[in-house]
Amino acid sequence: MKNQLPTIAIVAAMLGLIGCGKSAEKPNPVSTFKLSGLEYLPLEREKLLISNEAVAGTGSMIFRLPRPKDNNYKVTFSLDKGSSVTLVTNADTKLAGGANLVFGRTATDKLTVYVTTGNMVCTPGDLKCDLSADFAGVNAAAPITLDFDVHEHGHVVHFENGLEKNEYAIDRVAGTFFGLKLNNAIVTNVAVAGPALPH
Amino acid sequence: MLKKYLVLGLVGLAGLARAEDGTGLRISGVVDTVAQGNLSSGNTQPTNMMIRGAEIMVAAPADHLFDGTLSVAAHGNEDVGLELHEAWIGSTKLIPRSRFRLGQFFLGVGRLNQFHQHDWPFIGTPRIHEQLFAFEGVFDTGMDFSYLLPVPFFLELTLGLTNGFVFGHSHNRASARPPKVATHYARIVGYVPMPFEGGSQIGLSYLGNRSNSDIDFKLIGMDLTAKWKNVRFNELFIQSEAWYRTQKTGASAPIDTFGFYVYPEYYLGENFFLGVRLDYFSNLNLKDAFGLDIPNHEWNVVPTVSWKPSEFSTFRLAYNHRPETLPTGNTRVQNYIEFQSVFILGAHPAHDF
Repeated sequence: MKNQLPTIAIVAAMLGLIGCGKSAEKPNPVSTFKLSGLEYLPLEREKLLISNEAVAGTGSMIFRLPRPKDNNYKVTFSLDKGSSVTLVTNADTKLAGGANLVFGRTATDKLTVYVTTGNMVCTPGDLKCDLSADFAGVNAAAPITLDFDVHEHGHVVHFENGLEKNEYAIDRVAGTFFGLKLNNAIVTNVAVAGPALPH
Repeated sequence: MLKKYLVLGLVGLAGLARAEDGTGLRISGVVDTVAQGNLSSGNTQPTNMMIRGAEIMVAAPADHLFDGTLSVAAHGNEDVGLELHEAWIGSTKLIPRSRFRLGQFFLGVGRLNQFHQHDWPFIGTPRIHEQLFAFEGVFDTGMDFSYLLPVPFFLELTLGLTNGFVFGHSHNRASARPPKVATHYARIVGYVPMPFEGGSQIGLSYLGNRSNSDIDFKLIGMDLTAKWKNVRFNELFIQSEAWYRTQKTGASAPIDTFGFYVYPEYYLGENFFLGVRLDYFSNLNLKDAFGLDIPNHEWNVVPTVSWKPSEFSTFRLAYNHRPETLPTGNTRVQNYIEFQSVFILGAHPAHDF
């Protein structure tokens, strides 16, 4: 966490400028923020530090506009040891019932990647959901950008440098919203577009 | 990929050699090639040419009571090898006024879903069909039963029950978990004479499923096919479907979708046909994260020229004009052309109506 303190301090300062005291209990258009040009609503924001450049800390956020059934997501984030970021796609307005891509950093700076649907919990080492072996070369101590397609029919595709690298089958999902769940992490960029591998 | 088609071709050629052996065995190979070219920037459709489908079908009486069908296909946009489309045994002789299928088959609902893509009267997939079924169609393993109702006109009721582990295109068909409610469907279809010696078939369909992860959906659809025939061709042909789906996951609010397509096609002469398909699709209750309504509409106008030198080859050229009102509030218009060639080798089974 030490190496992220300056970033969090900057984020906290900006947070003061944009007014962090707004209540999220009653969602309305005034309480939205933007990250990478995408409007979002913090769902659990007590421990979130928000700026126009980043979201940091612990909490969850949902992007305002619904998406078609198949999409491509690019997320840039930084993790501390033991922290994680979850990209939730095809979910409902509470970020439930969708596909969850959970990115974590181990004590040895390895990246762990789990993919689940709904309320499923992935046991480390369970090859049905633990994809970490495919990301063994990633240095989790540095900022990470990951590029994924998530298709409603239960298909997750990982791209590297724009090229398909790995694909995974999951249960079908049906929601239209996507968001992020942060556990002591920093997200600096989110991009969403139509699927890179439409089919 | 080439190896895959090679195997497919060899199987097909071996079969074709025995296609006329007097046992009623009908073997056919079909290749459906599609090319697409973008005419405007921002299109989501790739510009490419591919073998959309290469299929081998075998159909024959298994014995004096039963018939069987087996078909496998490979798709140029899928890296999954050969895909089993149909493998079923059925009978029209065992039970009076009835027919049934047991095995894997395209679900007997609607119109397009019961046809292989190469048999469609147009090139692309209507948006509502793509959203609710798949780019081609939904097949599953189970049983369906059709009964010709004892009324003085044609009226047939079909009831179907299939596994429902997955619905439509899937990458985990083998490892999917059992559904909470298996796929079940019903379709009633009748024949209605039309003026000027035409005829039409009108069907009503219902389908439901609840997945293991609590995705619960119900489809209700209506299809209409009308024909005015001369000796060889349909002078005028109309095909249309309208579908409504309500879908919810767990305790979340339902998502309702509606769409339709209508495709009239007119015979120009010299084996040329001209048709225009109109597509519409919308999420009826699309909302943002605040619960505010988001208008969204997708249209597609697709004039299509077809040349059918015989029943074994077809060439089509289509122009797509596809305006959309996106959830962002922006509008987008995609324009692209499609070209298709289909050829059939061997004895392709005839379709109903």
